[in-house]
Parts: sequence; structure tokens; C-alpha cells
Amino acid sequence: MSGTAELCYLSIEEAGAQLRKGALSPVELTRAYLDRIEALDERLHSYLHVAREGALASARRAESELKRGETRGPLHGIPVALKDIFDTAGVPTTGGSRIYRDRVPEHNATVSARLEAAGAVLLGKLTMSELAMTGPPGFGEEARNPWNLDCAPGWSSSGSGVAVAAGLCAGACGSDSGGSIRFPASYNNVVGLMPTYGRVSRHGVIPLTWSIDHLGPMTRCVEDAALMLGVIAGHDPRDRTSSRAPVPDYRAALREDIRGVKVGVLRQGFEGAEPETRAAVERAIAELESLGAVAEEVRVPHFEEMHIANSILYLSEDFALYREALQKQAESLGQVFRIYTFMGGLFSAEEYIQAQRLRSRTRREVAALFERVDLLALPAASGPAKPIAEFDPFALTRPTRSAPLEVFNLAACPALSVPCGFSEAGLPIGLQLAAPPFDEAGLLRAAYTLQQRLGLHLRHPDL
Amino acid sequence: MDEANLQVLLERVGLDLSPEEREWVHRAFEGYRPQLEALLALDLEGEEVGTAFLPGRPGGGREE
Repeated sequence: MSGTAELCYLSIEEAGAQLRKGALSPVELTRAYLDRIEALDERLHSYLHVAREGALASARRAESELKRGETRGPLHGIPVALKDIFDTAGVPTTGGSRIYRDRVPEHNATVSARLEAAGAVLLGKLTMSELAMTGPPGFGEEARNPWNLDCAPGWSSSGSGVAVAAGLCAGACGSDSGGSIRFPASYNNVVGLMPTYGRVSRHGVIPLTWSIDHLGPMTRCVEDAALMLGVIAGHDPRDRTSSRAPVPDYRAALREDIRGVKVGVLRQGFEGAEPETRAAVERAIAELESLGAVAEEVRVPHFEEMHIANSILYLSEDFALYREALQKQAESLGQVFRIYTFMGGLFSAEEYIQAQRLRSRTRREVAALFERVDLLALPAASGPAKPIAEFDPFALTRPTRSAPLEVFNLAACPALSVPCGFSEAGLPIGLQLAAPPFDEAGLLRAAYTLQQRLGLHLRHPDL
Repeated sequence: MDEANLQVLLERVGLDLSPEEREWVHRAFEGYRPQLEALLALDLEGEEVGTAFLPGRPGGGREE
């Protein structure tokens, strides 16, 4: 690994420590990332926009502050990037859609503002499925999986997963309405955390839905996810669904062990999973047991109907959000987004109400499960990344693909994907863990303990 | 998906779909159909409708 790569693969925690003691400068670190983006992103296409000058200006400001002994916390001087749905003042924010191709917001999203206030350096905006649906962006090139450039990056936070895995940013933020953080995380060997609904403000974010969108960090290790979540979480009066629940010290929570933690193995989430994925996830659960966790098998009622319920909710809300765009700018929308958004208008009121009722039932049933166990464990994806050429837009209609992810969007509780293995073809596999609402600390603690045992976060793609 | 239903919405939205795209909508809905039937067959009597499920305070619901 070259010197530049070594810098770019430092964890946020490691880089932050060096920055604060003056052993590394924010400008040097930012230049290393910008150089690496220039060298590699022509093949990976993880960025829609690189904010080179702004990043260097932020890095110089961070350098001056750190030299004066002023520290803003663990992200001070750390180069990060954002999925292109987070508004960034003066920096293009397009949602990966041609309908917003020339959009430059005047104000920051709350997440962007909190990262900026914490001294993070914004490297740029990341490739994504058009308006966070699925498949390719509405313009530009599809992001490429750094573990195999012919393979899919995972959707919809595609560029976020790729950029983090390839060392093109220290950490990123994505969004998840049915797996869009956890799915690309599992495909790219990174940690992707979907926090509790309401934990992270959605203010200033281009929505896919109102009631299912969750925003969260994507990082190379669990400690970094804890640090980023600590910065972006917390009440925001500009988002009426934002929670007032206190934000704990997520990083400190990682010091505790997991002895006695009860892990519910959600068997329905294994149905349809490929043998290599099942085996890797089973091994990871066995590792958790060897570290002191206690596993038992559990089931959640109506699992088979969760995919259609989540689909009705997000497609109906998506239709309501983008109906005008369908009417006036249909030619500017990509085919996948246009057709699925249109389909959101075809569900009946009865079907929408039944989906809402199943969401209420699911929340109660998952809460009941969490009376028995502390965490749930299952695969994050049914298999490792598939060739991009095999992208099948009809996969969106199949329950086996998404139900194991969507159950936690319906239940509004936190879930993450943490690396747990590799296929024979050298492609990453992720373990999904879920916890009761607002127990991100417990979730991160278990993921951290597993990460330290497996050491897979130290493996990087050969680029 | 009933073709007449599809046509009504296309007219409401003012959208043109090519024959290939119409076929896509039909095919996708065929994928959803058995799931929709299973969902509608569930007895969810008494369950809430709306977003009062949201966490954030005891009992859920939005916060002011």
C-alpha cells in the first residue's frame, strides 16, 4: 500500500488522534484523498461532484484552528463525503436526478451543518440511485464495486459504500428506506448504520418518502460509525419527526463487552439467502456466542408480507412527492424511477391503509421480540454483489430480496450491516444486527466486538 | 393490473408510457399481485393507521 493509501485508510479515530497532536495536517490528509479520488474515481464513479477548492479551504481552516489548540471534536479536519441528497450550501445537490441537475442549495441540511460545525471537511457529493430508489443514477456513470469492477455497488447509497471501501473518503452518510445503507455496506465490506427513525434529522434532505427515510453513517469500522453518529444525531426543531431522546456517548459504549447479551436469530431472514452468505452469517453468530452472547432462534409474524407493505408505503409516498415531476419532467427522469414512481399511484387506498396497519402491528411484534432478546441477527443481503450487467429492475417486486431489511424500516428501529465474511469469489458479505429503538449503543457494541474478533475491516480492495 | 385502471392514472398524471414500459408496469404488478392478496387477507383489526407509531417519546408519536 502506498503512503497515500495508508493515509486514506486510516480510521477516523486514528487520523483524528494524529491531527490533534499535530503529527498530520488536515491539508495533507485532504490532499491525499483528493489525489486518490483523481487517480481512482475515473474507474469507480463514486463521486458526482468533488468539492476540491471548498475542501482545501475547510482543511486550511481546520489546520489553523488545531494549531491554535482549538479542537471541535473527533471529526475536526476529517475528510468526509455525503450521498447527494444532503443539501450542502453552495455545493451542487442533485439527488442523482436530472430534474435537479443544476440545483445548488443556499443552506445546509442539518446533517451537513452538524458535520461542518464539527470541523469535518466535505470532499464532495456521492453517486446514488436516482432520488434514492434503486439502480443507476439519473445521470453520470453507475458506481463500481471496488472488490470487482464488474459488480454492482449496492443501492441506493451506492457511491457512499464504494467511496468508503476504496479509501476515497474517511466516512460518508447515506439514507435508508428499505436497505439503502445496509445493502451497499454489505456489498462493499463497510459498516452501514440505519439509526432509529427520528434519531437523525431529515431537514434539508431530498426525500424518497416522509415516513420511512432514515439517515446514517457508512464507515470502514464500527468506532467511526459511533463517532459520526454522535455528531449527526440529536433533536432538530426543523424536523417535526426528530426525537428529543438524549444522545449517548456511542464511542464510550464500545468499551463494554457483550457477555450475556441475548441475540435472536431471525430465521426468516435466512430464507432465500445463498449458501455462502448463510454460512458466513452463521459463523458470525457463533463468534458472538463465543464472545459471551446467548443466541436463540426467533420468528416475527407476517414476515412474508413486509416487503409489499414497505413497497406500498414508500412508492405511494414517492408518488405523492414526485407526481408533479412525473407530469412536467417525465423525460428527465430515468426509466426505473419513472416507472416505479408511477406505480406508486396505482396502489389502492385500501392497500395503503392495510400497509399502515401492518406497520403498526410489526412495530408491536418487533417490540415484543425485544422483550425476549437484546439484538436480532440475520443476513444483510441474500448474497454478495452480482454483475452490474445482471441488474434486474423487477427484483424490486420480490420479497426475498428486501424483506429482511425492510422489517426494520417498518419497525422504525436501528439496524446495521457489519462485515462478516467473503465469498469464494472475494466479494464481501455482511451480517445485519438490529436493536430496540434508540439502542444504537447496544447495536454498535455487538458489532464492534465482532469486528475486533474477525478483523475484516482491515481488508481493503486491491485497486 | 387492469389496463383501464392504468389508463386512468396515465391520463390523470399526463404521462406517456411506451408499450414496452406499459408491459413493464404490468409485469411488476404481476410480481406484486400475490403479495397484495396476502396482505389484504391479513386480519389487522384494531391496528392504528397513520404515523403515531413513530418512536421518540413513550407511546410514540410526533413531538412538538
